[in-house]
Amino acid sequence: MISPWMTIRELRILLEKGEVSVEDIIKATYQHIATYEPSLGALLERFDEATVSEQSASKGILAGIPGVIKNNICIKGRRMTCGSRLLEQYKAPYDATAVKKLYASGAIPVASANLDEFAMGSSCEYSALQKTCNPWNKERVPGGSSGGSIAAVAAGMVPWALGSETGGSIRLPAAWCGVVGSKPTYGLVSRYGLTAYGSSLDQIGVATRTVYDNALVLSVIAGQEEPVYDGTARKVPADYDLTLGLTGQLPAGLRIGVVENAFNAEGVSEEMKTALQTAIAQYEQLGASIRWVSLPSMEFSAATYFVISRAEAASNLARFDGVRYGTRAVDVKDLQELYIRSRSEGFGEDVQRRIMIGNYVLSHGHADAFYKRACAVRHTMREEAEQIFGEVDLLLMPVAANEAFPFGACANNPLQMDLCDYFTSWANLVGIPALSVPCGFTKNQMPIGFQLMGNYWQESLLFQTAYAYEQVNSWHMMHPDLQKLL
Amino acid sequence: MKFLTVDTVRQLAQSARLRIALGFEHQYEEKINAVLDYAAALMQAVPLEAVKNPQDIRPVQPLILRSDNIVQSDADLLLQAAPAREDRFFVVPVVISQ
Repeated sequence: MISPWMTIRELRILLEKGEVSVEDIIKATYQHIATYEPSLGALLERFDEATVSEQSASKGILAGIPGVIKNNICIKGRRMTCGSRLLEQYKAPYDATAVKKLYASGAIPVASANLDEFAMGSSCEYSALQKTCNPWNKERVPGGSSGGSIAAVAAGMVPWALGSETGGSIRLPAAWCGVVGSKPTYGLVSRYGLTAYGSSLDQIGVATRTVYDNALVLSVIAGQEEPVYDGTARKVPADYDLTLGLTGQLPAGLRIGVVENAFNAEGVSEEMKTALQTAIAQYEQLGASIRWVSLPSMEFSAATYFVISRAEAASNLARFDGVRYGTRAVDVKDLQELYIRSRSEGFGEDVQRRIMIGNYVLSHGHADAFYKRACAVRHTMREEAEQIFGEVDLLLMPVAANEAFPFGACANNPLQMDLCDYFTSWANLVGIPALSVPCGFTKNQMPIGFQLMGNYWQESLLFQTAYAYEQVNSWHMMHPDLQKLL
Repeated sequence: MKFLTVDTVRQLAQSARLRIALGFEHQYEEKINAVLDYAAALMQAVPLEAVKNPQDIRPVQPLILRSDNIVQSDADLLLQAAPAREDRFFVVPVVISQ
């Protein structure tokens, strides 16, 4: 019997024993999606069931395991909307490297997932195409920008999803929906086929319901391909496997630094602090040495992120002009009007604001004050990271100050929405790996999470440490009551 | 601090090849100023003399360069995504009329 809450690990065991077939899994997946997707709104395009079943012949490590892919990642021949009206009918002409690697492992993408337009947002409310609910409470946002991917996993539709991060877009919704979300080291996963938002920050990552599954899928998508299409991505060994260290034990002498100025930051709820303190105490019992540390530069990370991400977005989104792809305005009199009207009619308000801010911070007379300063602060952050990882092995802090907010709570104050990246964007700016792990529930029965951050290429240590915590807790076994969605 | 006026919002929109609908400029002005005002905290973080040229800041890791070979691309496949095409070309409004 297939349950929607089965993990990849459990499904693989059933498949190996011959107790279920790939066809059984795919059928159960489509039935579950058909029942709950109309209320959840996580998916933008469901792929034809008969077509995806043809892919199930592979004998790879993810053979027959269904998942969904954020709709800013190319899947050849499928619509890639980026959650925007401008690309609503655009079909990707090639597969992203991460998608090719998934296919090679036998994984079965069954749908593309909703997102904030061009991955710009923290709630998924900025998708121009549809609304996605939080599976734990349909009146609340799932978080963003990878809200559709994470909601689909949290609602039991699939056991894995690909998302992408620029400033926290996997970890934040993962924390708010009670699943595990990874943001690898910049360069572990190729960005080829990921629509560029902030190129020096963007990275594809994974959402799953357990730490083991996350490590498994990330191992599959990691690494460069030949020929090289993303000059920032590394090669990984053929036997790269992040699940190998998952024993439930912490490495001897592990030093975890709790970020004091994040823990005590303004607005961090008492419920969050209590959950963090419990997690810290559990890590001490597991044998870790806990140190309270300070990250002064983290307090500038949101400001730095605002400037760098928008500057890069302004450059990256200049290509959408109604000529080469996307929708174009009709009845235009000249080329200039074609550009202006195609972009103004195609982009949503938040995207337009970000592009304008990017142009401002890069403009003559303001670049020194904003863009160059932000680059200098980012450099300071990297120096601070180098120093702190000489003193501790991992950092622990909240993903967000509080639980997921109700729809519309930030409608008149987009700055408040932008500040959801306050605790997450430091890892993106530095380029280090980070993992969001469920750590409890608020009195409103909404999930919350903490994040672990490690030094460059320390994914294995991150997963090992998160897995040890998961084994002495049961948060990953708690699931939303989906009947309340209907 | 107010960084933008409605006039500069219009100029910024023009430089970004955007057009803001009449009556909405004030909303943009207010919301963009709020973000810039927050980002201005960087001015306290870094004195101007400490600011380097971004190209002088060392990258986290060196880029991997692919070999400089000609790769055959499928022009027809890419052209299929064009909103308007003619034969092997993207169609745009007339730029030079005479």
